[in-house]
Amino acid sequence: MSHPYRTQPAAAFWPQAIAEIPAGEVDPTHGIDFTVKLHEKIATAGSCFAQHIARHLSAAGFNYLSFEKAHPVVDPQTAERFGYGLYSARYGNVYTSRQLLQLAQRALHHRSFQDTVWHDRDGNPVDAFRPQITPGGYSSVEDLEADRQQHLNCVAQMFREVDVFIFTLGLTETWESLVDGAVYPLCPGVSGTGSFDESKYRFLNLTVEEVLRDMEEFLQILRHENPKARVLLTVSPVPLNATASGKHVLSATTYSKSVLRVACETLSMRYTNVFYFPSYEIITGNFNRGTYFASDLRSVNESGVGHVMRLFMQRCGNRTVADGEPIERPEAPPVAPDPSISVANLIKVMCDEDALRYHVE
Amino acid sequence: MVALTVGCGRHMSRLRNGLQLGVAMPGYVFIGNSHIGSLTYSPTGQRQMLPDGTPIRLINFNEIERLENSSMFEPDLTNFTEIIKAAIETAVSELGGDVDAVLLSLGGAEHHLISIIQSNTPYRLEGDPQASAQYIPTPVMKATLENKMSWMNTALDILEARFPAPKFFLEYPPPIASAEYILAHTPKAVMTPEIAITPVATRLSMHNIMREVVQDKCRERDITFIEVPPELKCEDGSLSEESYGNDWLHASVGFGDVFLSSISQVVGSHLRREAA
Repeated sequence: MSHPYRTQPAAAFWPQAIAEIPAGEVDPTHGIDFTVKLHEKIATAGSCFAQHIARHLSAAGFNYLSFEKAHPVVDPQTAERFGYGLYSARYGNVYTSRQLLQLAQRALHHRSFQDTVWHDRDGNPVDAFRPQITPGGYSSVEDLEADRQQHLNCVAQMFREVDVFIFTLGLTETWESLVDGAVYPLCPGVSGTGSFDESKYRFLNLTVEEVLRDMEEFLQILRHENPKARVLLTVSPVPLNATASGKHVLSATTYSKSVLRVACETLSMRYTNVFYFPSYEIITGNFNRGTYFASDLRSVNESGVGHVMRLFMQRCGNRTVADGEPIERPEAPPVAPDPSISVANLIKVMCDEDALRYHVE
Repeated sequence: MVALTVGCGRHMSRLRNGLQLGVAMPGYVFIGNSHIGSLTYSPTGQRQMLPDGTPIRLINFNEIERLENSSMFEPDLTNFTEIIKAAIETAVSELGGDVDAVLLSLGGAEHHLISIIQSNTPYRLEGDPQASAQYIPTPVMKATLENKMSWMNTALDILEARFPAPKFFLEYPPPIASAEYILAHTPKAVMTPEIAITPVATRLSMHNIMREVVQDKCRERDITFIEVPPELKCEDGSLSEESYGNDWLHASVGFGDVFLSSISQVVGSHLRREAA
């Protein structure tokens, strides 16, 4: 007797796809029809997990772009400390669909907000939309505004030029300004930035409908700016660190991730340029018995990230990469030396050769 | 010389005794790099004393051959510590370590190295109006300079251990405003037809950030920071034209004359206050 299950592939059956194969061979990417070519411009944003994706794509030779690079005079250690290169622009963590939508709205001048500058414990100004991007705060509000304007210009350029935008949705919980609906990645007052005032802010736990609405509005803006852009969605497998929902943190995590997962599935079914990659399933699936999490049971370890990226390369990058195999990067085009830097090097030598030694007039 | 007790307050008792008995003072030691040249040289050669008669001695890191070989600006810190220590000990044995005040002008080229010549990707800093250049936020630039100046902590540790006397850090001369003057004095080795000088606003902002870096270090280590007197600066804060030195970033001995008199006042009054 014939029935639909007779024609399903092995991936559709739990024993064959999960229980009876080694954990490292579990591959939930079956059915994903999304590939990215090496030359295509890729940008990332999202929660902490998106940083792993960015790092691996860059190391694997994909055209992962940073639209907001540190100036060459800034040393790499300082650049990293100030959030350059973590994502494709210095937005820090973009945890929610609402944050992503408002980032695009701000960058493309669709909307502006009022409560945008907080202060840290020492009174230094902090960008309310990315409170941890400048440790120790800015030297002045003018310094902050100049940096923010440049940042938003880079974000706008990113949305206009990107071929593949990878967004990792992390949370549904956020904090909203009662004045104009601005949302923030951190609750005001946390980590010594800003101060909490319940007459100014409220807790928001987005529903599936709200996430869908935000994302659809974002996709509309992106399509208007860049019709060719494709969007790859993932859900961060990292559980909530804390919840303000009044629920147990595990229940709150389950709610949040379920909402995000449903939203991703819905969007990928509704839009031909939107895809979902199951990194969430790879990390949280019980087939790996929790071994992809570090001892805090939140952070994803390299082994878990490696599994995700190996499948990503196979399914979406048309590349087969064994565990731990180094990936050869395409040769970078030659770059003309920056005169200020080469001169600095030369001057160093010249200093050694007394060039900067004081000479009596 | 008055007999001294070793330990806390040594220089104060000496100063008290010296003032009371009219005995010659041990004087000040200038320690630093190229910028101390304008302060410790006169048109006729190296100064032996300040205009007020205070004897001065000089430890010029730029003249330490082994240190030059180690590269001042990216020193191998292991070698650096050893070299600096040895150099200071040698200078102390030659000059004597007994001093009333230590006047420091360590470094002072780090910010020039990244700001004199216009970058392929021009940048701007806080307070700098070039709209099209890449903006570098002040904390990012400050952290960059702090990294470049990290060698100074090692040097200060050694100097603090060797010289317990009060310490003063002398502000580096502000930048030369005139791009024409800088170009005319650009070392041949770095001169190219395409070379362009960074706008003075950028170099002034860089100088101000560098000053903050040094002032922070001074606060951490209880070192008094002495600013360049206003009469040696233009209204915008750049170096007065009369103070331009004979190269593209140093100040003249005339600048040194004026600054020294201000330094003498600040140091003298500090020591008198401590002695009282």
